[in-house]
Amino acid sequence: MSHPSHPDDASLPASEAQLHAFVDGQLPPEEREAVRQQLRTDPEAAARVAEWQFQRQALRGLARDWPMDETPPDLSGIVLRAAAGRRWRTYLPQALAAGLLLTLGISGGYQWGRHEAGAPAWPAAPIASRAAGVPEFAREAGVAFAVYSTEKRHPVEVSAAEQAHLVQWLSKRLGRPLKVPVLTDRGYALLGGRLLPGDASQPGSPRAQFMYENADGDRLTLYVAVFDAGATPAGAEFRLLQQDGRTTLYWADGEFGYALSAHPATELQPLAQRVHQQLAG
Amino acid sequence: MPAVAVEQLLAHIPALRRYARLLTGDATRADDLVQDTLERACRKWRLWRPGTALRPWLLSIMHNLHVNQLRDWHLDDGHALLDDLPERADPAAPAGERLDLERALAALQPGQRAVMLLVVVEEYTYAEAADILDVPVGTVMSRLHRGREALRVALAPAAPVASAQIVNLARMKR
Repeated sequence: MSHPSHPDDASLPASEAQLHAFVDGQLPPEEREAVRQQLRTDPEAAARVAEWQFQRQALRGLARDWPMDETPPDLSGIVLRAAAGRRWRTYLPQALAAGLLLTLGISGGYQWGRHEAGAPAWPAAPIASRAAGVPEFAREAGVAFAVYSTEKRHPVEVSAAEQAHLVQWLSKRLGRPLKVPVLTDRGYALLGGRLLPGDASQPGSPRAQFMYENADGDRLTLYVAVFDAGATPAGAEFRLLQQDGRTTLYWADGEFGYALSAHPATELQPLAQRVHQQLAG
Repeated sequence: MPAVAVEQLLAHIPALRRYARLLTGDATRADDLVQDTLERACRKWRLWRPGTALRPWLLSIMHNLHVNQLRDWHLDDGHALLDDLPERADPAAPAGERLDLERALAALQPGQRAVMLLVVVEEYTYAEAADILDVPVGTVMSRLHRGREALRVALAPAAPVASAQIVNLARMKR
């Protein structure tokens, strides 16, 4: 490939380049030592190197301590909408029809985690979400919450006004009779629900998402997954998954996996207990 | 995109913003740049080669967009860059030295600033930085050198004339 010429293309003398590499820690040990020797006898170069080192520290400090507010929803929304558009909105009907709910998922997750390891000056992915053993349905639940809880116009596909139809429809698509927990005593009313594709480990297994809202407009979602007997990837105890800007409490009950997601400020435990009581009963 | 990929991309946003902030020297423009970067990454995420790290890929997208934007602004109005030099409204105003450094960084030529950030802040090797910016290593080295020297001059202590002038002004006012 040919590069366009730049005004600053004039090549740097090798000795000068070596001084920069010294400052940036990009020299092999023996050359490093040689430069150190040289600097002892060259005060002018030593002074310059000292200033470059000082700059380096200052710049790194500037980057590290930069005051940064929370990520605006606009920015995360781009990623979430892209994910939703590709996987759910655009491809969902065809994918379900063709039984083609495929793509990546578990193996992809392994690679992402591995390649990010050891990257300097860069935040690690949230530990909880990267930890081994978080089932895919719990992650999906968190992402689905983030995508749809911010929707103004279409947070649900079928509204609570048609609750009987909603439950019948989702039960049919998941192949199991579903129940919708009532959370009004906790201040949350059912808004409705939608059907979502399952994860890659279970091609063609859709999920149900029920959305609730309280008087303040805070939303939470209950995500329901169905698994083959003995294949449920979670235990009966409540487990917490923290993702960027949302919290998910998940557990399994028989062949069902449940995940309750909300903003981190929401106290999920009592809500999850309420859900659990009603669904197990 | 698998949920894990979405999460990884989301997890990179704060660092991308920080980086863009240093690159553009302006909070609004930085977020615009991050927005464009994310949009392009989402559109092209299939082009990200598994087996390579995500971060350099995102940064190379960002740098490409940044270079194009600078080009557009120059065509638009040659003064855009100077007018947009940082004007901090943060409640926690940084110490004077920080401000000096920010200004000096913002005053660097964009290509030099990019190299400085990649090499110094992100700690990429010269070859990696050359890859991200799609320029020869020699260009990285000379930009690094010019950038460092420009910062050195900009941050050199000024002769103490300013305080004398203030005294004079105070006298004139009376």
